[in-house]
Amino acid sequence: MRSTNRSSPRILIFASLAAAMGMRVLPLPGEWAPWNPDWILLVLVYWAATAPDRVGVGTAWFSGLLADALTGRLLGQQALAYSVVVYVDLRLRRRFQHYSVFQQALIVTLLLCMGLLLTLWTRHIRGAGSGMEGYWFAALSGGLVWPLACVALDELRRRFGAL
Amino acid sequence: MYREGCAIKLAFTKKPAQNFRLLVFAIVSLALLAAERRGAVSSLHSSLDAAVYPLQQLVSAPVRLAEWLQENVSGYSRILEENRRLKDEHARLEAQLLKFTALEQENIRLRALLGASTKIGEHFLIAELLSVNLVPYEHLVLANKGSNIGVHVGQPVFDSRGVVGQVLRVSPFSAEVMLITDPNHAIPVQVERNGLRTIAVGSGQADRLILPYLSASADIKEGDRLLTSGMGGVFPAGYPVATVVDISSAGSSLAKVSAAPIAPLERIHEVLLVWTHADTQAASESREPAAKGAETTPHQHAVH
Repeated sequence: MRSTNRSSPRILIFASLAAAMGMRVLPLPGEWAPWNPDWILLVLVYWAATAPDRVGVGTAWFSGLLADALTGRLLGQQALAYSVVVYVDLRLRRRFQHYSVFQQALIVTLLLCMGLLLTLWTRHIRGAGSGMEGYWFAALSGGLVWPLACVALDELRRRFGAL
Repeated sequence: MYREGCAIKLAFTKKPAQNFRLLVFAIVSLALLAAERRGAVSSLHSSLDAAVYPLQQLVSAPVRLAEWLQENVSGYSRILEENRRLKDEHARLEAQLLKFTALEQENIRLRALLGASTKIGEHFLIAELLSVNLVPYEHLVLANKGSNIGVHVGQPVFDSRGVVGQVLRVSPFSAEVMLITDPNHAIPVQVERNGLRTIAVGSGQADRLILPYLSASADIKEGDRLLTSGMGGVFPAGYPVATVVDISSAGSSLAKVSAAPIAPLERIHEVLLVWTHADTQAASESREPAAKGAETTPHQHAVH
């Protein structure tokens, strides 16, 4: 992850979040669906770490609200999870940038787990679910794609950062 | 050097603000969740749903396009053959319908004689399902018809073969449908063979329903068809739901019965939204007093 030296354009942040929302509901075949990582949270974690002046708890909350509507959850479930995760991410930010990309991936996995835990915690409001084996797969796959996502977003920022 | 100092200062001034903001957003989230549970923010939710609907359509578009292309480039002979097959089927169904209409009329007459109330009929509307994955583990699908054409919460959703689920939430242009296999869904059913009533609960697996409330001595066996019983008032009676596939009582007083849904829930692209006549009757009844009120007020004005 490239360190911040200038602000990233809002349009880039907005576009990457929109793309992440699209990827979140990608129609993967049944057995692969649990492995689809939470792209929106990944992108939020990236931007909060690299452009904290643009992406903070508020952006995370509104993205979470849209994600709730997008995936048919109760309003506030992912909004809560995203704002807490981004808050922790912001607090870790200074150390985060000195880690290697694999250490980052580990931390991102833990952050995604935290997000899943928070949504799981608010899930009981609608009623407990069963058949949840593989609920945590998405955090694992999220950690696995982190290096890729990081490189892609760095590249985008380098290309369009000057806009 | 100066920049570093600046950053540290910034971090100091920003931290309490961050803490405060997190607290505010967390409280707002919890308040929203509580309000949603009481159904107090459904208009906000449906407008948000409408806002994200274009994105859902966009994601679904390539899959639709692929299907459309496949339909369009498939050979002339294949289409001809399909057309012939559909014509045959149509003729066969028409003939069955003739008999069915006569039976329905007779049934209504007999029920009227008995003084029993009955739902006299339904009408259907075809909706397409969007190719988007909402949440794994919650069996939700998104249909492309919404409240602007009268789709409402709790409305039953069928497929040409059997029951699919019910509408959980509507936005102006789309509706979220909870499948009968969702772990939070339960549907009142009866066994076609003997009218035994029970409840079928979703298992979380796409090909299984569970019947948890049957005693080990209940008269049910593999291959029995389960129909909607019409209890509970959501689903009209008499539509096929599932076929019993497995029974084990393993020494306990309750039987473990599982059934496979008749509608192929994982592969459907089109569903039927159902309006039962009781709905429309209730709607016209609730509208009537209002209309009467509107009529009476001018009279009152005339009198005074």
